[in-house]
Amino acid sequence: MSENAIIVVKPQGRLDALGARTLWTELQPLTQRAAVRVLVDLGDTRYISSDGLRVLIRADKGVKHNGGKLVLCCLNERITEIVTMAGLDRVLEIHPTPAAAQRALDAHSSGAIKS
Amino acid sequence: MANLAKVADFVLDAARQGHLTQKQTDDVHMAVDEAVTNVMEHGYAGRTDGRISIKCRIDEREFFVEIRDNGKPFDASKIKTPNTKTPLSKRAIGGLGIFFMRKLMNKVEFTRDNAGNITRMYKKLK
Repeated sequence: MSENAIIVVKPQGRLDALGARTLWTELQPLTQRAAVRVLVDLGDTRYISSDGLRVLIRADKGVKHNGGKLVLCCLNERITEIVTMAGLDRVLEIHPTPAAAQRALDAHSSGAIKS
Repeated sequence: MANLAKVADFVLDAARQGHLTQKQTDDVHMAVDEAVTNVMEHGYAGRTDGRISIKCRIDEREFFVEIRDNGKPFDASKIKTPNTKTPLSKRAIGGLGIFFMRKLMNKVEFTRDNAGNITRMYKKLK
């Protein structure tokens, strides 16, 4: 895998407190890398709790802090409703399909970080 | 934490028996998941021997759930409710679970008796 590749993370099933912990163990190391581009594909995620949302917010913040970009895609109707209820649709970048998400990440040049 | 899936199964089964709509089912499922997570993460923080009891009562007008634990006393008034209108960077992210419980249910009560904490939640079905 090249340095600049888009990293896709696809959580399965339930992003409850337990699922959120597992997801964080995957996302946390990415937040430490410079200018990383991450796609969190929620296409196989049935449920998200506040802990799941918190992990996405922390990961987004961390990735942005290091000059990277994190986007979400493929939220089901219910997850979209929950994200909107918490006002996070204005915070997290959400795309309907993996292709749209990939395009948004492609537009974010991974070399854009300024030292 | 692994028991959260069992809690979900219990609530989903109760919702099915009570003929709740999909939206009502999703709402009570999440509210109970948040309440039980709260007990595990705060009431029983650092413990693995904590017990939680969950009781549901459903009639055609209301879904009622009572969650009891004997963990640390819980004071909901000390939890800040996040203001979802303020920018994330300035927002208190703790309290999001309770925000959802209140948003998804019609009434949420936190009380305590000699046996421990009691969380009671009500959702109107009609």
